[in-house]
Amino acid sequence: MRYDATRHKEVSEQVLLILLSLAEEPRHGYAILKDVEGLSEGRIRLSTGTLYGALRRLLEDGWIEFFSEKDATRDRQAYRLTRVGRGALDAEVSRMKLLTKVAALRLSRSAA
Amino acid sequence: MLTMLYKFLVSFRRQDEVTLDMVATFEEARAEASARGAISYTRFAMRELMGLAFNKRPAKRPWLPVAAWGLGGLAAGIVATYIRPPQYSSEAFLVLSPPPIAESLYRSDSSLSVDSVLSTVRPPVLSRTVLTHIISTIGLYERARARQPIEAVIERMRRDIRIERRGENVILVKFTYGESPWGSLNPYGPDDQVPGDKPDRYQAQRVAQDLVTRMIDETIRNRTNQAYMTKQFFEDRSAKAATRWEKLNVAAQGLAPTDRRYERAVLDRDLARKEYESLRQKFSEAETMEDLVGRGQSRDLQLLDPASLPQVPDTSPLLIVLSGLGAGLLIGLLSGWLRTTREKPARLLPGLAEV
Repeated sequence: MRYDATRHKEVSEQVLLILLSLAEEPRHGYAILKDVEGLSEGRIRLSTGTLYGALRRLLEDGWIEFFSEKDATRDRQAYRLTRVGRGALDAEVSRMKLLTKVAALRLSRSAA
Repeated sequence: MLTMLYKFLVSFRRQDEVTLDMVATFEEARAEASARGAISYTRFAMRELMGLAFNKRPAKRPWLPVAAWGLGGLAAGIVATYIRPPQYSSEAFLVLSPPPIAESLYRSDSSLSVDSVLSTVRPPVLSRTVLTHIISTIGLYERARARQPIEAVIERMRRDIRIERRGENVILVKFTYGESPWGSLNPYGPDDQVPGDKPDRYQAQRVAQDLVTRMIDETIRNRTNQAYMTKQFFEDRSAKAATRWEKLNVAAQGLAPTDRRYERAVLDRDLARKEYESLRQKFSEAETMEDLVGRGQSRDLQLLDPASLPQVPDTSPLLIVLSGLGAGLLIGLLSGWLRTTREKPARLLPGLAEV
């Protein structure tokens, strides 16, 4: 299953940060919370309700999946990005890159 | 405490491994927040509870919650109509009519005003005895009587009755009543069309008419009693004054004009005579008043408009039910809108790639 860019869904800042957190490695819920807080430099502190609401949607859309840790001694669930999710994240990041590029171009034109 | 509340709120969610993991993560985060101190813990608690309250999973069928709210509102409307059945108001008007004989020809009793009638007639008409009699003879408040003591029912009836001044000489008598859930079975037909049915609007009219009749009767009774008692009072007083005058007259005649007590005795006699004449004048007026009251020609309370038969309830039950439905739909739409506006998308201009 590949990511279909034409059916791109809106990604909130919170979801984007969750996807970025999982892009590096599979993480469990609490680790995602802390990572998102770090990524946003403390600006965004997710509640568990918000986090798991987003995780459930991402699971249903197939962007993430459950991941079984090798060390299963701890009673918690880990999540990892799927290929579809990575495609969506790449598309979103590309979009943002393009935007910054266009923005820089426009700003330089107006400055000139 | 926070954990209990959290688990209670989470219990409304789908119980699967994601939810179980959420609770485990919450416990982990709670332990950490607790270790950071009270302020941190409070912030954490607020964030978690708000997160649960507002960040719910969007419904796959967005119309479903709206429809659910609408149905809930509809049910609330139906229940409200059952708890507070449609109310029918019957109104009657009384007028304080001027006497048929010109008041300039005699000293009329100007004390009979709308306010005096209201203050004297209202207490006996709204008394426990009268209201109990009306309730039992007309068969009012059957549902309430089955659940509540008669004192509570009487108090409720007093609240349903309005007797008040309208304009210079007019009194409004209004009774509002509604006992049948969703209105009468046959609200527009006569009583005998539905055997055993006692439409509320007819009962409201009967009570208003009964109250009006009682008010008129009470006024006449009061006026008659007052006129009789006034006449009796002045009759007795004038008789006593006459006796005193006679005694003083005999005493004055028994003294010679040269006697030094003579002048004082004549003065006392004249004063007693004036008092007698004044009382006699009042007695005569009281007698005239009694005669007028007896003939029904005094200033009196008369029926201006008989009790009306209400055609429709004060508030339509259909309107209440539809209001419930409307309110439910509105809440559903509002909550749906809140749900969608909670998350601010960071996604940038969709057509940017074409720039």
